[in-house]
Amino acid sequence: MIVHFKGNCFVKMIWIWLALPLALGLATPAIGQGKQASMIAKILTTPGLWGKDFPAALASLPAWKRAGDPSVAIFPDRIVGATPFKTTESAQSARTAMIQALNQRPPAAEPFVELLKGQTERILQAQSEILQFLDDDSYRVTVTWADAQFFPAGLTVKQVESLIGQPEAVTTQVIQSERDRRPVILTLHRYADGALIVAESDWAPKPGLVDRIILNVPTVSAVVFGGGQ
Amino acid sequence: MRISFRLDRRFRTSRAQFVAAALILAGPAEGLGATIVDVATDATDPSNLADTEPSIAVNPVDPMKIAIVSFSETWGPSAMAPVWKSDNGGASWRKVPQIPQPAPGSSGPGDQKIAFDATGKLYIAELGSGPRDFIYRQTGGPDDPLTPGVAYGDDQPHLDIDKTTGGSCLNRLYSPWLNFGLANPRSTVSDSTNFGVGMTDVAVGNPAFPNRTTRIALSSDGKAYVVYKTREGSAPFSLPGSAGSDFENAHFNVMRSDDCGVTWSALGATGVSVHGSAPVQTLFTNNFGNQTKGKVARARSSDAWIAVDPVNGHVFVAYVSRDTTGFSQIYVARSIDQGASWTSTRITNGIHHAGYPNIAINEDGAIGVLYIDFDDSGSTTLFRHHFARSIYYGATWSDDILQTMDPGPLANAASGFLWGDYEGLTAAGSNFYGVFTGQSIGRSVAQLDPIFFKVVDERSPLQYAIKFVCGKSEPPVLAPGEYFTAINVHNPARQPAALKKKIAMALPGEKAGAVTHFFGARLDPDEALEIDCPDILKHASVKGFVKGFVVLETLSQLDVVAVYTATGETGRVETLFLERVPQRGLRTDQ
Repeated sequence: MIVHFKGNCFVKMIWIWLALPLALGLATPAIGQGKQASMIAKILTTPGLWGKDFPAALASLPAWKRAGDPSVAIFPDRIVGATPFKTTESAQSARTAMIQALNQRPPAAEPFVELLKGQTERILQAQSEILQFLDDDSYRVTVTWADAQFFPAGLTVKQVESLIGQPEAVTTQVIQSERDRRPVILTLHRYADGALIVAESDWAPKPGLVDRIILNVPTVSAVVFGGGQ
Repeated sequence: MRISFRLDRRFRTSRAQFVAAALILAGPAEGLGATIVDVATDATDPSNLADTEPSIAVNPVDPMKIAIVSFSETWGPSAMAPVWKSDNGGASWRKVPQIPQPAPGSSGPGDQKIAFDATGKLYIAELGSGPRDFIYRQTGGPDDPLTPGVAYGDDQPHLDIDKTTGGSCLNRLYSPWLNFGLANPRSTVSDSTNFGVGMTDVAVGNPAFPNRTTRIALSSDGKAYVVYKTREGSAPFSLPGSAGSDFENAHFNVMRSDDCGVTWSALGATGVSVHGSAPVQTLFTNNFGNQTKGKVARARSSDAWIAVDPVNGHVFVAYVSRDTTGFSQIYVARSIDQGASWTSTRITNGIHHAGYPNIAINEDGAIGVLYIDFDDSGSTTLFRHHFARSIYYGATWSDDILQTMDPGPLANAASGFLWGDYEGLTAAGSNFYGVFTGQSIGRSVAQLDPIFFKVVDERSPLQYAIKFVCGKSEPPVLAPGEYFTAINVHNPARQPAALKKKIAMALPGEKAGAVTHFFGARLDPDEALEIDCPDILKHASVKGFVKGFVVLETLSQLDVVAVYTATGETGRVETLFLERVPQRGLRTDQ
């Protein structure tokens, strides 16, 4: 995706520009909501796709939503918010809001009750940090803990396709930064009308590895928590 | 797949038909022979990677050995990033994994540039995540894992190494980069006396503005030059299909170091603008192309390159300027006084937007410029990789299209980046060697690949062999006396002439003597030079009485006259003889 910037407005615009990569996860209702929800539920509960701590990542979605993040990027060992900040200081208030929101525990929707049992407490013990993000050098709120595994490191796109089928669309996204180093180029495999995106990165140690899975926070959260979020 | 062709009118039609799927040739240049090879194959690139932002270097010890880096595989804890290598002048390529992860947790390559030293050892400047740069040096065999040096620097590290044997800066390694740790990003040059084991940072550029596009070139006299740009605010002009500004005001300045990189103030604190005091408008965009008609490219630090004539030290800068045509154009500025003053010439035709210039000078004084323009007059945007060449110091130019490409159907061509910020061009001997990220040739899946090209000057060189006799002789070889030879060389043409000269010693007793390597020289129109006995003795590193031939080779017709004098017991001239030396033609393979 290419976004225009206007000369002197570049510095201001760059933050909008940087926010777009993860905002891509915003779903559009091109397919029926019921069908989308069932697809999301199926993918989220697919055995072999996720790591042992993925339920805790799902449990954190309402907090991300209240903190205003439209999407989160799930990496094998951490969760990264979509909102880019220019400094660690400016990210701090978002991190505080995120931590406070973790204390609010909505009940899970029926299909996810068993899966999320005890996970809200688990996510409360997670470590929330502000880290500089390789993609665009911005500062992001992240959640992780020791030995966290949200999906298996080494998971490949081929394995994903064997588990949940072919994506609805595959697109490429260049994530520009203010610097002129090689940009991160993501190959986005879109599922459930974009509510869930499996992304490869050209910076990955091997071609074909899943680098991150991008979840549309409002859409996926609605499926997992229903109206109680 | 390898395609060879001569870019002349006789071959144009049939060859163009032959390569129609991959290449479109236009604007043939007389006597220019080009070979184009897709560096990657289905076997060496099974994942169909984009292989962008390539860099090329030719081994000075053996020009058949060529190395290229591009964004191919990455390094990791148990994986090394590759170097593409050819051992046969670029005809075929292999992929050698030899760039290990420089530090735990580092991802990369993020930016890279490749070079050889005078002995043919390989070096690569690499940017890893962090961001930190590393110089990789060859400490083992040519294909063994390279050894990373100390962490230094930041964005877009470049690289060059002084190769002048006997020079005061031999083996000095220079790596320009951009320091983003300041309010105004600052051009910086790190130098090393131990090939990157340790690096010393020296701020260059102009702190009053954000800097960008820092490139380096080294002269055979030990002087080092960098060109950089100052970003001075946006200019209200758009590329086709774009709504915002895609240009900014800038100066392209050259700075010089006369002390092996310790200081860079030889041309003043911030250097000399190559285009005068007024700023130019240059590209700063992620929209190079027409986004309503296909994919577009990033062009932000893709607007300047620098090279030095290896013989006379003249400095050349290729840069982008949106001029009165309304199009971003490629200009070449030349300085004959070590960067103090400059004269610019436009080399593009004023009817298409162009950018990404790389420039190199070969030993014959020919200037080569690799650049990209686009034609959006049809339904899709066509990007064209050009090779422009001037054999007359920029007075006239030929221009050939190496490849025309529509990246739209290429799955691994990412709009907003495409080939990267720059490509690769260098010269060795009389040849130009280049690499660009273009459309694959002969691959199962059409894609972006690194495309190597070699341009050979196929004009037949002329040779002049001039007998010389120098020094005091003793019988029985020659009559007693002191002999002198003065060789006068005049360029009668209206264009500059490049020549190279070597000394072939002749020994008595029917023995062959030593032959020196070539020494270069340049003559502007109507200029003349003289080669005397002291010059011959110096080049041949001999003393006393010597005889043999001075051999001149050139692509231009010259007036060559030898003047022979001898003195006897009086010490006054007793004989004088003038000989106009005839030329002979050499085949290009001689």
